[in-house]
Amino acid sequence: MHSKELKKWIAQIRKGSLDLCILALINKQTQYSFELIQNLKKIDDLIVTEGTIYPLLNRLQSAGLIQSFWAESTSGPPRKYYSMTDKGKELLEQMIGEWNKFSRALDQILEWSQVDGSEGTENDQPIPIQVEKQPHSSSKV
Amino acid sequence: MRNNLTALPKSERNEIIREVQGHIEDHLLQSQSNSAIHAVREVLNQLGDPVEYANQIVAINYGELVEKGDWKAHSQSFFKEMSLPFGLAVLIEFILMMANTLGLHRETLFLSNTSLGDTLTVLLLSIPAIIVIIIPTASSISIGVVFARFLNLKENPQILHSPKLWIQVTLVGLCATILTFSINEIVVPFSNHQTVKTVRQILEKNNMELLPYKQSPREISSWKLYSALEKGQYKDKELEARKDLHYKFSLPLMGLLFAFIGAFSGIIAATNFFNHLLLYIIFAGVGPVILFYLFFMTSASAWLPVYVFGGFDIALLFTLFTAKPYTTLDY
Repeated sequence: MHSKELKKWIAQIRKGSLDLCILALINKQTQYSFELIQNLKKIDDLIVTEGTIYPLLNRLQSAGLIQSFWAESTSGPPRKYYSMTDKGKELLEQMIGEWNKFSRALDQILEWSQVDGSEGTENDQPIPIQVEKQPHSSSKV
Repeated sequence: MRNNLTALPKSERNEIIREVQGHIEDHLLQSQSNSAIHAVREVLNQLGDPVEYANQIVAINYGELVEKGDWKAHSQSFFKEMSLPFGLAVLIEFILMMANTLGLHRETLFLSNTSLGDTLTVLLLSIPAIIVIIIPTASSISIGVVFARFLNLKENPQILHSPKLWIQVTLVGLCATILTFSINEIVVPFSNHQTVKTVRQILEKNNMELLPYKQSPREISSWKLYSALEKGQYKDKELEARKDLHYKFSLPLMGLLFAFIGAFSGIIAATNFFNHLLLYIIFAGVGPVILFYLFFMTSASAWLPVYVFGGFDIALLFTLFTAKPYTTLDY
């Protein structure tokens, strides 16, 4: 029933975090795009369409966060390798810090909301002055 | 993908294609599928729509272009995007207008004593008048297509807000206007006169009765026509009425066109704040005024303001109505 909304939400999360994942992987090791995609695919659900990685790499390179060079390969076609720039390393460090802060805050909220599953005492609850309108309902309130 | 990356420099385009080709080759080397076709299909499916990510790369490139503010790169990108739709529009319009010329002169050109040379002469002489129509319309159409493409670039359509792009679009419009105006004033009256002469010769060859020659207003420039009308050399009530209307209304209507269409659309585009309904109401209101204005003109050269602002407006309308909303990238 909520699969469409869920998919949208997941897509937003992926979109927001894929830059960080790519930078982190390239920071760990200089790698070419196919290798990078394989590494991302090892983590479930992080990437659906492989082609979307190329524009992202292009964007990161345009922003001066990564740099590239071509190298011959003994086991396949020539490959374009990506490595971090100093600017990229600096930004990655800041991104990781921000991600950790955000992740801790989110965990706290989720933990707090699931302490005992109760909604407080009856006196704490606001008393509605109108019957709540149902979404997509044609009935009059 | 290559076709959709034409806005990028060739070396960059080749590098992107080469990288994707490498991806496909790597995938095929690792594929455990028994069927090569199946393996190719699999990798293409996983790569997704090439047009979509070619557009994303182009959008990133344009984003960079706007940031760096390079005039030359701006103009190269713009004209590269514009060339194909412009060429196609010119070709289609040219064929249609030539067919129209043949249709107009069919009674003369299909007579038994009309040579191929005569037919070709009439067709060639119609080219200046055709150019006068083709240049502004093809420019407007192609500018519209370019703008629509810029708007459809999903992530970074900032290029549309770049003053360097707007200045170039205006310059293209202005050049198209000046060129059209010059051809219309200098070449078209001459070619029309030659056409009349050729047609009369054809009729003579076919032993057809000729009316005494009387110079048509289409055979002289609009300036000369105005002067002739002033001196009362043309006793044509319809032309006189048109001239009067033109004198009385052309300037205020040009102002209206500028204020309510050109400037208003420009403001809407620049602030990125528009409402389709509002725009429709404005155009629906101003449309009849434009038609009235065009209908009562003595000569096509008075289309000058329409060429300048009309091109801009058509382009803008096209972009606004073909604009797609931003969508979340499907990662």
